[in-house]
Amino acid sequence: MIELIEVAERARTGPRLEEMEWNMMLFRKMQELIKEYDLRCRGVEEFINTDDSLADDAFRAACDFIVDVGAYCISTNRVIHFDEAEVKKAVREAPKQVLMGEGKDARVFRQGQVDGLEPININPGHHAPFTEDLGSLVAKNFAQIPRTDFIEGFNLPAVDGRDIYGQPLEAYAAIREVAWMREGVRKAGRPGLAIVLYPITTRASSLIAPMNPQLGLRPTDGLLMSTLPDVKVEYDHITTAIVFSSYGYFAVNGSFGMAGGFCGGPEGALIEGIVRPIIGYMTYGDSLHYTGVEHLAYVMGERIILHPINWARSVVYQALCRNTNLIYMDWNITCSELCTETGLLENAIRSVEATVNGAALYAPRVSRAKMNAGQTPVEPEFMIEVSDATLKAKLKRAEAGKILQQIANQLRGRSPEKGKTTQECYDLVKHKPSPEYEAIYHQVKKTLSQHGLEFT
Amino acid sequence: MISLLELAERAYRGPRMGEKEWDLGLFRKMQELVTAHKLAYSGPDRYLDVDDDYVDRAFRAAVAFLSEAGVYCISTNRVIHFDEEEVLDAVKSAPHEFVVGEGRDTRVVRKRETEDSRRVNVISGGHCPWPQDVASMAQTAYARVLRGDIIEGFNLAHIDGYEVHGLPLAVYAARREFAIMREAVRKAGRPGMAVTLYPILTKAGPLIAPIDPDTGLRRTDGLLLSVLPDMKVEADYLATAITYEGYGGYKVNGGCFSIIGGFCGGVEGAVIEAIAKGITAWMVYRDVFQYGGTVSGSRSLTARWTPAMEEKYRKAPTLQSPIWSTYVVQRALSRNTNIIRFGGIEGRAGIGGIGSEAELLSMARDVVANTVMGCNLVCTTGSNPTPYHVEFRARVADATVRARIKRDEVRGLMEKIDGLVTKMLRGVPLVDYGDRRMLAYKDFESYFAPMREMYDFPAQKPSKVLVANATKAGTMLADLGLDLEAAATRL
Repeated sequence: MIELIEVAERARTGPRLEEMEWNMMLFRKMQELIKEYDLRCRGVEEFINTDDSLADDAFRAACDFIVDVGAYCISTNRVIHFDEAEVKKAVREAPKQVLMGEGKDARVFRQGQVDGLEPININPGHHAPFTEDLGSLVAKNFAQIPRTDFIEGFNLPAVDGRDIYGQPLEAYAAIREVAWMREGVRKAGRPGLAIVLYPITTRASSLIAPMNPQLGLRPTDGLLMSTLPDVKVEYDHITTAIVFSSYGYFAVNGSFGMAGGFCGGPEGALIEGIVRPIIGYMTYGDSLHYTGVEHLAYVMGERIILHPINWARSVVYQALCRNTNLIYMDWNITCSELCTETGLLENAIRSVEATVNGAALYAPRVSRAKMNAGQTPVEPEFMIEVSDATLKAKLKRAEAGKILQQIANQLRGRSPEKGKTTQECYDLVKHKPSPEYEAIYHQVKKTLSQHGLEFT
Repeated sequence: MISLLELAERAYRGPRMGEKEWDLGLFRKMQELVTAHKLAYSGPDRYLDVDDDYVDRAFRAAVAFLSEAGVYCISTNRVIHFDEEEVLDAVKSAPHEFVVGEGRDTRVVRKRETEDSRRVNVISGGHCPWPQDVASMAQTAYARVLRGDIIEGFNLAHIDGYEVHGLPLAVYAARREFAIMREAVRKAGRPGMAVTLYPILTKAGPLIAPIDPDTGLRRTDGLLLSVLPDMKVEADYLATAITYEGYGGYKVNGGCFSIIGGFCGGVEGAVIEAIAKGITAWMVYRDVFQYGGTVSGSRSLTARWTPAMEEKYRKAPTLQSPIWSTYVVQRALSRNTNIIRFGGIEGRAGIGGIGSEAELLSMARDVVANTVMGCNLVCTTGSNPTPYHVEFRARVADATVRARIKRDEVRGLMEKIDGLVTKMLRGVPLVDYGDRRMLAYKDFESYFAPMREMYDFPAQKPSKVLVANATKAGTMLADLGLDLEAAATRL
């Protein structure tokens, strides 16, 4: 694979381009590729894509994009170019599995299979904002979920009573974040569980600061180093990747395509959703990618948008599964808040869809998460149950698509439901949902059983 | 003591000020403090004979400066203020000794007092650029000097065929620097020797990047985090200091010096600045070792060797910085703090040519004064072109301690050595090479050739000429009462 220092050099010496010029060119290029490969959205009957040749075409479009256009470095305003051989080599050489954690808590995180039958890998949280007083307690609760393969850190607004502002406090907060996570997983009896640093900021100093095999990030831990929307990368992340590549790490890449951005609609976004994991691997050495396609309004928590976003997302997963070794994940976000029926139904759609597409399940969270109100252990536990029920029912893409259409019909016309904070609906001391949330949970499970899922 | 988080907060919340405004304010404040503390001095040049009353007044002026003016953060353009209690609290809490290195290579680095009877601690090697292919061999040679307690890292202009430019390459180079250093100390048979990171770039990323207890910077190693001239600090260093406080390791201030004629004004303002910088480095970055304590003329610190400069300074061979001002800084820090100091006065580097008797004697002259002042010995490569120079200096320091030289004897000794050097150089072109390190970036061969001529780096052996010159210089020093041979074996 192309060396990271070579990537850094290209980011410094590649052709200069203004960011807006890149953005506009991105839009034009995506339109051109959509036409060339006939990637138009399919009807609602294809809630999940079942056309393998379309997935392969989407993959080819993504490779063409990388070879013809490359990636844009926002720190240097330069374009990083790759040739076809480099892209093919990267795609071929990307690891199909990652070992993470240590001792009894070591896990193997694998690429899933479309229509597969094996349980998929799980990250139950955080990737959410919590205040420092809850830090280690929240981490403990999520680490207590037995299927957890790794756990991600959280963001915090203040540390030791001080606002996190400026480089020194950011570095300190990052160190503290990992310290609380370590304490949390120890308290849960899983001292070797892999932790992923959730960046306090994307500055190299705060990403590198927690590197400490005794008290901080170990070589068996990871960090979130995402490519930016519109196929952009940053110098600080390349810097961080260079450091961690000789220390040991795995990196997670938030790399979904955004419908409504400069890539255009879902068709352009699905190309972006395939491009960004490849770029993440090539420029940062990322090995896990939560990707797919999202809609801007959904991510902002404004509207529950399903088809054709779900379809586009499934094309991304299938393209990556069929043509690469890249390990892809589905970020299980919901527009609705905690302790709501709508929220759990949104979660269920994602969980089924991810499972039949071979996507690992990643960090369920309210998409527009408020402080201490982004997640509880209920959502990941529910997500795992739904995924297992999908496997137990041996659902394939086509059948799963039909079930999801029914659930989508149930959600039609609903607005995102307002909910509760983490502590209002979950007892973090006793690791137990509130009676209200428990009742909603059982009710939604019953509904899903009626749709054909088989819960144990 | 004030926490680093509190300092970071002040760096981002303190009053805003333009840098020029700070610089000019600095000048006015120093003038005011010089007057208020009766520090103006216009008498004849002095050596180590300034009375302690003056020394203590200079120290109080430095404390007053920090309490009333604070320090300036160049990253945020804000002033970090302290109250007097915070400054005095910091002054009291600096450690007087620090353990570095690990295993059998562990060393204790101590604060030395004026006229101390304990041996000096020695830092050797690095603090200079090396090409990648030479670095390991050269640094191994310096690590083999057993009197060295700590070895310093080096800078790289290129790494693995890439020019070191921009953050990603800088962090890569920083990690490689440390990997090469680890290899060098292992090859020298000193795997646990403490290594100080010499910054590739003064950004937090490359300073933090080498942390790695297996192959990089260990908790028993350290890094250079220097206070900038004119009482300035930077947010990247604060971020780095916070990170290392949680990791471990020692920190070194390479900036405990002041230049006469800068924004602090004349020699007295420079004295206040140098003392204040020493305290600041401990308060703001938690630096436990300080290089310098020097108050010097602008030339000696800013000179970057060029043939034109050589020509110019040949015409002014007697140009030297005052001794007394550096003594005041050293004595003030020694009497009033536990700060562990390295360095001291800086003489003319390379006088008479690399490896000449004159050069070795000039070095000895400074080492004698600095040892008596209570400084430890910093022998980085810039002014120690071969490892044998480090050994020679350490032997002079040991001989000084053994001879129990007192402050009032130093002037006589220095003048006698100056006399020998002057006599020796009669008719010989005077080459004061200043700081040759920049030459290494431009033309490494020209930089390295005279060093290689005096020292076989691959074989790690001094040349016969260098040994002969050192022997002759040693004999002359023995005549002055400094027995290098006895000191090496009987101290």
